[in-house]
Amino acid sequence: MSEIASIFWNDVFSKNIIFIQFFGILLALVETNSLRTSLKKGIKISTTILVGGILGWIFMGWIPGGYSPILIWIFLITSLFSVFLLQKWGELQGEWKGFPKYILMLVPMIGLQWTVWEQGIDYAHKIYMIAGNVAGFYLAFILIAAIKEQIKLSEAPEVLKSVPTILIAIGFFALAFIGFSFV
Amino acid sequence: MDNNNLENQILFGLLILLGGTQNFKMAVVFGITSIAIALITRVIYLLIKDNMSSSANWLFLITIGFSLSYFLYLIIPAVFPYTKQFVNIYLLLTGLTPFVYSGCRDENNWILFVKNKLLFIVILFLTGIIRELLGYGTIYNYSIFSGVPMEIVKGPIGAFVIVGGLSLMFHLVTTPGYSHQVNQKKEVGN
Repeated sequence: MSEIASIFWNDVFSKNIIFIQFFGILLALVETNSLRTSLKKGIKISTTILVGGILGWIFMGWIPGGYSPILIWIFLITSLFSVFLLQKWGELQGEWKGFPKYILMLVPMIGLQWTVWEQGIDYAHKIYMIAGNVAGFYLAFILIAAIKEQIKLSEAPEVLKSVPTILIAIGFFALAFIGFSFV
Repeated sequence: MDNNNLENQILFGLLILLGGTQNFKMAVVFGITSIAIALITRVIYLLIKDNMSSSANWLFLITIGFSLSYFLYLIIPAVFPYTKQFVNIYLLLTGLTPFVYSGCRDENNWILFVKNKLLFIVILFLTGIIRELLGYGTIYNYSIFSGVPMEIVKGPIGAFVIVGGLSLMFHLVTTPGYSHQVNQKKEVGN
């Protein structure tokens, strides 16, 4: 397998942004409902993460030496801008438990940009990392929607149809994801 | 203990619980840092809340919270070099989690703020202790087992299963009539 393909597939599976790196876990838990609605919503959110990632990637090349105190603010601004676009697209509006929903989007976006900046081998490789992470996000988002739907439909007592059960189920999916290693 | 509140605290600080509990020392570093950020953010919120609109408030608070976590991310390993191994990207992202801002919703109720943070700290430390015990066979670096009981617990799988398992246990213990629910299911099944 070529180096680029291995970077991409490792970011989709063994370094998945939700199951392994946890960045998008809260967003996925809150925003997924039924599998059917999550398919479309996942595309919108993944596209936004891709836009934010590409904006961050462009600035990574502009800042001399990748000086982190400036970059971290650029990451925050690009993330807020991408979230603003997503809200215009009809998602992440309103509140979740008293917080504006867009807060949930900041961790995956800045987490992704920071990881790519820190771990990317060179400028060109970083874009494959972003693409891999976005694909991984969509895959995990859909899987979490499926897990939630299955738990809801199961005949278990109501007390077991809660967040802890979903977390344990996600743990087993993480086990499957970490098993993939592309070299 | 209110189940809903427990679930909320776990969700608000989920990133910290998953990323900052590989061992007990790491949990302590993350616990102190996140509480410090939450406290400062709340104090700033109480000072500014009457002078800004709600949306501007949130943007301002996010900037403050994120700046604090970035500052601590840089300063903690510099001041306490032995903590370097425990400082990772999750500490940097702590300032973006709802945990930091949950104190900004409870307005003037300091008792609720302290109670919720203590509840979270208990869950954080318990997760750190269990993960270290099973993943490394030690507690606070003191060897408890001769070998490593479950190495897999060190990684993300352990994080999810231990956090999920702990909260499920709290959930079951504090849910009145849980056994009644299970018995009812059995009867329906029969």
